[in-house]
Amino acid sequence: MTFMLYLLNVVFILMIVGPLYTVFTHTLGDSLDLEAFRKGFDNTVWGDLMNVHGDAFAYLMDQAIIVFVLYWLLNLFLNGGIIMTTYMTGGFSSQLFWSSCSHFCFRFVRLSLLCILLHLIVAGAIYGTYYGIVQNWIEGTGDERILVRSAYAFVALHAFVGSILLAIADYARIRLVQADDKWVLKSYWKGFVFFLRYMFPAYLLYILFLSLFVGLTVAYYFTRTSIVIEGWGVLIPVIIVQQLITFFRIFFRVAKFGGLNELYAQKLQTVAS
Amino acid sequence: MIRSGFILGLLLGIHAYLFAEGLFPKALSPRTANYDIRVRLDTAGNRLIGVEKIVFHNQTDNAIVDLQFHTYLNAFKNTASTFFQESNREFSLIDLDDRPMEEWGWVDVLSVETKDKVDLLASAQYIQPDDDNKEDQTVLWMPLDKPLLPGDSIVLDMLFEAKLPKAMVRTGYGSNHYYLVAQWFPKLGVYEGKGDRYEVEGQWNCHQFHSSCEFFGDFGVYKVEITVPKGFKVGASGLRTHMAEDGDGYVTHWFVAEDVIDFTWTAFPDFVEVNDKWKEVDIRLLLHPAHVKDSNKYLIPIKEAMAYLHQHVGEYPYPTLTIVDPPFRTINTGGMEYPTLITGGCIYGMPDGIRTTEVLSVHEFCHQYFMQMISSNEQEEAWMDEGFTNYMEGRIMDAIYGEKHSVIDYPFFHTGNRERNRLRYTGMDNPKIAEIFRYGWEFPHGGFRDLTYSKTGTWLATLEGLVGLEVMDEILKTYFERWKFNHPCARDFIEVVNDVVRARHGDKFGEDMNWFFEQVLYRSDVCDYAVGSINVQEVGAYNGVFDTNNKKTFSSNKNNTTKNLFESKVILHRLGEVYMPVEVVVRFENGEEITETWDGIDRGKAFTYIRSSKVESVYIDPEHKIWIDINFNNNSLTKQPDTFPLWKHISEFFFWLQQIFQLGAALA
Repeated sequence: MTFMLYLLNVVFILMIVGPLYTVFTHTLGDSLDLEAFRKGFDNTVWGDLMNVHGDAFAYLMDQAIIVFVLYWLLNLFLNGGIIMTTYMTGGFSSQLFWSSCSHFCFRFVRLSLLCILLHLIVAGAIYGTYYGIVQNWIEGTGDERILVRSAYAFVALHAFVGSILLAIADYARIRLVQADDKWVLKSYWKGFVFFLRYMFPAYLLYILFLSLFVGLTVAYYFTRTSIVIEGWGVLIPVIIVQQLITFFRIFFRVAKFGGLNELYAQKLQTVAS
Repeated sequence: MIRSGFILGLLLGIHAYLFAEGLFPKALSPRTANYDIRVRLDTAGNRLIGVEKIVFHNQTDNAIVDLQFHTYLNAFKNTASTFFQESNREFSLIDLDDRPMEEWGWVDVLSVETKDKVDLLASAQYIQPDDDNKEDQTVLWMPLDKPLLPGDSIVLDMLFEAKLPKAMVRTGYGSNHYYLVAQWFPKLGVYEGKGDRYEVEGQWNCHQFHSSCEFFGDFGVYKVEITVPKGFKVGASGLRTHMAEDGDGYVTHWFVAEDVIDFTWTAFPDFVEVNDKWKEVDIRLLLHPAHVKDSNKYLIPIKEAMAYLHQHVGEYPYPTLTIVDPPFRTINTGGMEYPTLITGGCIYGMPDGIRTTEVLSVHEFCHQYFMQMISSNEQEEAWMDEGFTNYMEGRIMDAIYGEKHSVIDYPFFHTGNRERNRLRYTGMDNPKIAEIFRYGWEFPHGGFRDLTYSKTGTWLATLEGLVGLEVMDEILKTYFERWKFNHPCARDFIEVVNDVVRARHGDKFGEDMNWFFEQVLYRSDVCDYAVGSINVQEVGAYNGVFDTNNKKTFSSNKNNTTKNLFESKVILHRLGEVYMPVEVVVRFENGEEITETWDGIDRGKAFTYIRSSKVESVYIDPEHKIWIDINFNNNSLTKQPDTFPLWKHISEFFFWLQQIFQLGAALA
């Protein structure tokens, strides 16, 4: 299942990168200035390219947005199968997977829309407060330290609250699948109550998977800046590492649902007993 | 009542400065217009009360019958001024609807008397030499009671009152009693005699305050007494000689600035002062408290710039340099140059990899050479200061921080100063929108900034590429030595270039370099060279009968007795209208390289080679000497492209796009 998800990810990216590669080869492919990119980024080459051929790239970026939305919708659809597969014992069953995908699809769409709405409300409250601070600042006399430090604080607050909202949303999905809830509001409420009741293990487990999910990319970023790629001998291993990172990020996403499923089922069993 | 008492005190108690000696043993400039000013800052009303003594020397061969003053502050009096009419898009008249009366600015001349107590103000009036905007009051014309003959001088006593605007740009006050006081006093224009710059007859050069242009003044000595409330830290052009408490809660600071074209000052109770030195120059950095940790963002590049300009252009003769770091709220008073005082700009928390403060500092310091010491007319020929400053800023920043990293420096995105400046010109929607050689307010369709700053900096870099760095330095040094403390125009700089290039390169570029300036300065055309094609075909040995060693021999491809040859034809194009001599490097498959030269004049050029090795690649101007070429990417063509660099970046982009999509999936 993880491999299938990885392949889907690759296919969707190819839909964008393929045409991008073609545009590059047609615009810059025969120029010796391409060599400037061997060591890294070159703003002169890039700037001239954008000045002359920027429109072509702009169209591709517009296309990329559409592809992203389609990918997001596809994953909405696949969530049902992923969660059911990690919930049931007995390994992967394609029949179970696809039937779960279609069974839960529209409920997951509604649940996701609900989560987005809640997130927008919370983000609005957080950044609305910051906007108020900015407006007061404009009328006042303080210097920009207030704005900058407040911005850091509010972004940190948003990250913290956002991670809680994401955790609740995932527990709501777990609940929806395990209990086969028809009403997403009920699932969300149950997920919220579960999170509150078992906040420490629930949040800790979630943060663990989130850290792995994000940490891989962050570790790659800081490592990558110290690697100089000037030949295929280095590039190919780097590409392999990149794809392994992508694969394992998908794996951690799947494992996360497995872990959350396990915790949710355990706690419910404890309550029942 | 306070104001009357102050004026009376000043008039009655005028005392001589204890300047036993000047700053310089010998005058550096003609010292045409000299000012003794005593000013008091009223912080409650944001007003200045000033007494000004002007000593003006007529150093031309013309009899001068009138005077013209810049009253720049009146540009901020109302939106009917030429300044606001022209800057419609920038400030938006809509935003100014809510501006209360006390936030506008103006300057009123209250009295002007000659030494003989003749009142000149009675017949004075505001004029508009540049447009028909009768509401504009930024030029005050004053007829003299009698002509000022060549060689004579006139002494005027003037009383004025100025109301500082809430700072929108350049000058004014901000919150917490910050003041950047620029263009605050009535200042004489420049009287140009016959033969000065473009003058056929002598006349005043005194333009209105236009939104896109800056200023033009004459050299002189400024002695300024600034009285401010106790607790304010004051910085100004020139050297502070002493300060004293007045005993009424005010402190007076005495400044003297010699051989300068203007005088600006600042006052703010919260400045944190950092002092440094470069050789004998005292550097005084006045920082906002929020930016105390960023002092090196000013000091390091400034000192490097001082050393660089000293080496490559000429000496900075003044004993001081004051750097003002404005508060964030009034950062619009930053990024400006005044004689021996510059205003920078810094934002708390700005990452070290984004060097906006450094760029600004270097740029404004370069103006001490181009605009202050070489006092070109910033209004009529803005390119002569902004373009030169832009060019030197590029050289200095790239020398300090690296050619490709000097402005923004991160692993995955970086850019150098010179390349960024070029891209600002080449990236214009319409780089042909206007020629550079026009008055600063005559760019009705836009392009002023990109053309005067970036395009000029870019063609100066092109000039450097053509003549070589050493000769370019000689041009700059000669220009500086010839025209410092003077008012050159385009013709004067071109003359310097022609003199130096002729002396160093002979007739390599023709009789003179006028063809160069004709294209880059007086026309709006663009330069673009491109490799059209590389065509290779196999040619066999020649067929037929040949005389070889007095014998007839027969050769035929059928016999296959001769090694095959290849005819490689390289076609080059001149796509733009501007022509420049270029080098062309032709590389063959066997590794051999030939460097051709092309005068670049024809629309096309072909090079043909018959060799056993094929042409692999061609590169027009591989060292990018012709910076003004609008597109470097088409300067080269290769028959054997190496796609490795493309794969490298595509794979990286592929990976990051995967992560973004994964993030989206996780949020689904």
